[in-house]
Amino acid sequence: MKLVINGESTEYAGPPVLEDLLAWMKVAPERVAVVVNDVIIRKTGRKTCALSEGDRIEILVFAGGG
Amino acid sequence: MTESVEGASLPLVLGGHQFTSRLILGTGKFSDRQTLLAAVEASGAEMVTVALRRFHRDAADDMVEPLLARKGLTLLPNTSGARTADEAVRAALLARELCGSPFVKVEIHPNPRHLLPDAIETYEACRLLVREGFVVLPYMPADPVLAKRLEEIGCAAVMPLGAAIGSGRGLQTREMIEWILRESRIPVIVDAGLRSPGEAALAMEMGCEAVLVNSAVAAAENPAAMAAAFALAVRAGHLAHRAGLMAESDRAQATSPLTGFLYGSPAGGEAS
Repeated sequence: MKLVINGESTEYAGPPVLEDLLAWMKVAPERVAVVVNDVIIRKTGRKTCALSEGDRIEILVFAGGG
Repeated sequence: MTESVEGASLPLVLGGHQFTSRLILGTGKFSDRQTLLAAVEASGAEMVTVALRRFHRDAADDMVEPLLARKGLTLLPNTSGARTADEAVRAALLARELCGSPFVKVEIHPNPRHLLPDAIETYEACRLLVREGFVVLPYMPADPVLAKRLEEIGCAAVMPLGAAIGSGRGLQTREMIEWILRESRIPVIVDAGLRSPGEAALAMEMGCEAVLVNSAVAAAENPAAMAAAFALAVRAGHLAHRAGLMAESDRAQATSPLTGFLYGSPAGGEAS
């Protein structure tokens, strides 16, 4: 399915569940915060967060900043 | 220095949390992770700011990763990137989801040329974030009226800028900060624009409870050494403020007795 991940259109063929998407992206799950269609998904909710065609996903980490 | 000379140490208190160090360090602009870590270590800072960015699979090593679970270090996520109150609230909620820190630095600067804070969006963001239970530290213009209003809605401190972020122009806003200090019942923390440890010492002598520096350390030739210098300066300025600076005078005030016995003596030889 086509997803928009961090602003970029991405083709994803894995299970349509957020937890699996993060594994596919090789993301350390404890180091990211995730927003799906403008809703912050808690870490505990990733297993049950279903993904659909066209979903907008933001995956965020901490960076240096003042 | 002995404890008796300095007097009993008073902690910095922000939102009920106590800190020994009054130097807060920003983590932006460091050239590499080792330099950042060395600076944090040398600064003695117990609180550092972090920002949010999008995850990139191919991105270079995460610069701040070693700081995220470091003992004795509190994270102060900022809302940099936000242009509105709603965006700042979203950033704060994301940061809290990521690290659980109750602190947030509200930082809303829509114009990249001067990076000066939007007072209206900042006030609104603070109002919303205090309601969400955050310990809110707003980066704000050095505006004494705004400072009082932010205090009234429950901010834990106010953080007036000394000068534009990264400009190194020092305490340009000194007189306004003095007004804020006179009126504020919450800690005042100078944030942005400082360049030299002397400026940090001055801010503390004036009565600020802490300073936040980033560029002054990250862009120094030797960041770790500069961080150590800032730590000393902040400590010196705070001690000086507590010791009570002498009064200024428009006349000289002699420090030695002005006795007349030296006047009129012949040069060399004994009196006849």
